[in-house]
Amino acid sequence: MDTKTEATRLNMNTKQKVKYKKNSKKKMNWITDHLFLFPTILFFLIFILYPILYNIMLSFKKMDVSNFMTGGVWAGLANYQAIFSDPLLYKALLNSFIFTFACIVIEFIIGFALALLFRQKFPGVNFMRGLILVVWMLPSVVVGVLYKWIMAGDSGVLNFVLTQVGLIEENILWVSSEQFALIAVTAANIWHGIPFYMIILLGGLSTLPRDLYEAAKIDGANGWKSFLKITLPLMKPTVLVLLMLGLINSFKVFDLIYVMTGGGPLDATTVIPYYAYKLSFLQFNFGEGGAVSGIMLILVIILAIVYLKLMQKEEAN
Amino acid sequence: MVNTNNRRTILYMVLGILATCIMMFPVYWMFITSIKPLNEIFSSPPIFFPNDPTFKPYIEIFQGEKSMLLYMKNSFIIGSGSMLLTLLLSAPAAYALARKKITGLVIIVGVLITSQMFPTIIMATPLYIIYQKIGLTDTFLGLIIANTTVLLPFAIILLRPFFLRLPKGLEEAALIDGCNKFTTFFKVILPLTRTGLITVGTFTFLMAWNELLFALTLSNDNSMRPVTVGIFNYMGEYQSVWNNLMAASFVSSLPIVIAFIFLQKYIVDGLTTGATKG
Amino acid sequence: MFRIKNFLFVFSVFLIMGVITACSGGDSASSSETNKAEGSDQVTLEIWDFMQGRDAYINVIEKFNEEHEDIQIKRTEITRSNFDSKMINAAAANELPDLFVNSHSRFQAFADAGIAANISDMINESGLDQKFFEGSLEPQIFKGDYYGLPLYNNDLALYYNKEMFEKAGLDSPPETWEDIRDYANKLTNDNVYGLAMAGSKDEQGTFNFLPWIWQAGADLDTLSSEEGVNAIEFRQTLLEDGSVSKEMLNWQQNDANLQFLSEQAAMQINGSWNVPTLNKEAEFEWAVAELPKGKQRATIIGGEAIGIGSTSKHKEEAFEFMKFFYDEETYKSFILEDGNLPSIKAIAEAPEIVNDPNMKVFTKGLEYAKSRAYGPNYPEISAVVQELVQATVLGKDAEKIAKEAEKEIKPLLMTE
Repeated sequence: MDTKTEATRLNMNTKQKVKYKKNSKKKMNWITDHLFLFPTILFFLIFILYPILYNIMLSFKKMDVSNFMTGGVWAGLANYQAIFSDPLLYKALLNSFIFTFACIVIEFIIGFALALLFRQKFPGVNFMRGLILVVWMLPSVVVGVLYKWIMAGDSGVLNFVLTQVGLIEENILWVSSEQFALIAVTAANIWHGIPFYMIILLGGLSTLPRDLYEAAKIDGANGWKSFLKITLPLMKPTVLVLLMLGLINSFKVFDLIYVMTGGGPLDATTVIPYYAYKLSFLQFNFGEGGAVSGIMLILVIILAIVYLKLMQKEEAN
Repeated sequence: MVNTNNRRTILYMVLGILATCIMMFPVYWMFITSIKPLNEIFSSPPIFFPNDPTFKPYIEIFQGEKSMLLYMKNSFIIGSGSMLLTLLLSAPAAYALARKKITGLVIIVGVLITSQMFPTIIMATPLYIIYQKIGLTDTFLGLIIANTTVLLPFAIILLRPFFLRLPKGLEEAALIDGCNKFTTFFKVILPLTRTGLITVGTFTFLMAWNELLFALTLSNDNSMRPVTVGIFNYMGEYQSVWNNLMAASFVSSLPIVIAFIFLQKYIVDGLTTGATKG
Repeated sequence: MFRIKNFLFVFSVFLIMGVITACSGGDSASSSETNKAEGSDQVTLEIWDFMQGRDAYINVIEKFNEEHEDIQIKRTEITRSNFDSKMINAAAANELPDLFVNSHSRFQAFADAGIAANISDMINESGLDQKFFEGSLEPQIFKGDYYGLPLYNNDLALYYNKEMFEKAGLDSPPETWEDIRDYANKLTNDNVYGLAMAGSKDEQGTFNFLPWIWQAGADLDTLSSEEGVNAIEFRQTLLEDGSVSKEMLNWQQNDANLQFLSEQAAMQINGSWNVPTLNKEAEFEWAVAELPKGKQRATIIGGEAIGIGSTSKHKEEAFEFMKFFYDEETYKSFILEDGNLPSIKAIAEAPEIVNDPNMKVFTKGLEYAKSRAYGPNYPEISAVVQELVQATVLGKDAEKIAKEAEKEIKPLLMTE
């Protein structure tokens, strides 16, 4: 009896100790868990957040060649006013919209077609798939140089081929005419991006259960119908992510335009990121350049929120 | 039945070859132009199979102070540096976000996804000014850090599903074996996510190799600029000698194409994991 | 801790290379530091330029470094299209180079922005200014003070392919605008354009546009006058005739020269620096003539100048280099190899220049060449002109675009 009470007492004691220990252990646990994040957070604060805040500050300052050395002066909303009264902003927004929209739609359609094709089993399919993916690996600078050459007006091979096929009668000045320059950079970007769409959609397709199609076949659904009724709905999560990635990548475009057209001719291919570059690094108007960056920041944050909401909804399903 | 199957296979194959040829034609044109002598470049109609192939452009681009070799070496330093720094930061972060109870997880992931979307130009101007203050302009480290600002959010997002995929209870088992949290991470977790690390490493290397805007704005010294700027220099400063330009383009794409051939499995895996499990 | 051989198996390639290269990168950085520390009285000057592959110029720097133990010059090459922005960014961060070489058309703006140092005292003391043509000093003068010295000059003239001229039955170069239009038409066929010139959206586009305006008898503040509109319309006529490629929109002067060199164009408008290249590489006979006359003769004077960064701590040493550069022997061998026109009087009379029939044409052009001394706002003015050049090539209504450009330019032309 004595020993028993002794034991219980001892037991109680350790239990209390454990409870106390548990609390401090919890704290330690929390700290060590978050220690894994520490380097990233530190890096993020110094090299991502601080520059972005700096940029926002810049957008409220007047800073150009004349006062760059003294650090600029506060200007309130003047930069934003200047930007919003510049017709080029709206042109750049429109160009960005057209470029992004055309890229996403066409890359998606061609990418999906290729994915459906290369999903089949036939000799050499892996090799061909790999070869096409190489296109996606090329640096955009290389793509820009290459397409500038292919689409050259006088001696470009594209004009030659199109003339031979009979699609055009005289050479088109792809990169040096206002009507065609945007089409030219869009086409180059589409070519560069198709393999990415293809491979992601292939990945998505490979997760679809085969027996569903068998069942559909028995029910008498033909290829097109089973594509619409089974493939597309099941692919929704993949497609959603893909479209979002495509949207971001096309919106971000800079290298290709810088190399192929430099935003011209006559701003025909100036998109939003290039507009910001032009203001900051070509016209040395860092304040207004910062204001365009500010607008981009807002657009991106809106996009991100929409994306996150969609993802949440998808996860809930 | 066998017959229709065969016929279908042949149809697919023909379509496949056709699609591949169309997609690959520009690459072919890049190579063919690079081995043409100057007088065949502008000839009309264009020459599809050079009569007089020459490797002179390849010799020329490796000569002199603007040798492609230098640019490629620089790209290699910047590319591998960016890859290492990104992995060093992203692996523990992605691990914690995947398998630990993190306060504000949703916010952190949200911030990561948002910053992944930033166009590079938003970072370029402020980084330039900050770099001048702390002396990082014209250094490889500066370009590596700049690249990492873009690569890090991307890497964490891409890496996280690889940690999520690991079986539950792994850490507990390791704890019983006498590991602490950090040794568990290094000895148990990291080896298991090898695929993910290779995937992310490959991606970050390729993306850093292809980067242009930071290199353009954050470095002045041509002796330390990467291959993307090198090509642009060939285009802007030199004459538009297309055979040399195409040779330079071809050469600068070669390392990443080779890397791709060897690491294709990881790239494809990574892409599909990233997209299907976001 | 790293018992993870597996983890490294493919990765090692990247890792090892990364470490090796990172280390070697670190080495070179530290070695340059020790260099500085070694000789405490040795000064290292930084020079920024865009003189890519210009051996004659690079040789001068190397020669200077050999002959001076106490002053060493470290050269940084910057792409031409990025040069201005680099300078301005560097000025903001107090990181200006000690010396820089830029188009002389930028010097007044750089002076106004406090980027280029006022070097009047040093120049006057040394008497260096006496050596130069007055006209070539002018673009570097701002409010009566010197902010730089001209490295060399050049102007535009007309190159023509003699063999193509013969085939087309032409025996002399075009004299007037009517001639050049007529000749260009005759010389154009399926594979060859009559004339090539630069029209790119940068300084070169402006450089190749202004002579036409001047030849017509107009200037930037009278663009919308009858003469100004005439010049724009005449350029458009050449494009409509099909004797000039609309691709000129993307052509820099090098591209125009490549068209000429590869016999895709029978004539080109270009500067003297192409003479050495064409002498070496052209497989046909060619010659240079003055630009054809509109209402009057006109060409444009260009060239690079050298200046000192306003924040440089070693202005005296930097000026030492400038003096070295303009040493007559050094300068002469530089000019002869580089193919530009000397800005120093004594060298202009050198037999090598006087006796070269092609160079003579360019030298003669200097007599009536005009400079782009439009004041400190010139970079912005030039940006407007570049847009105008683009609009011209794209076939916009000449009167309308001339009016718009003039309206934008007028307030930028400062009247001191």
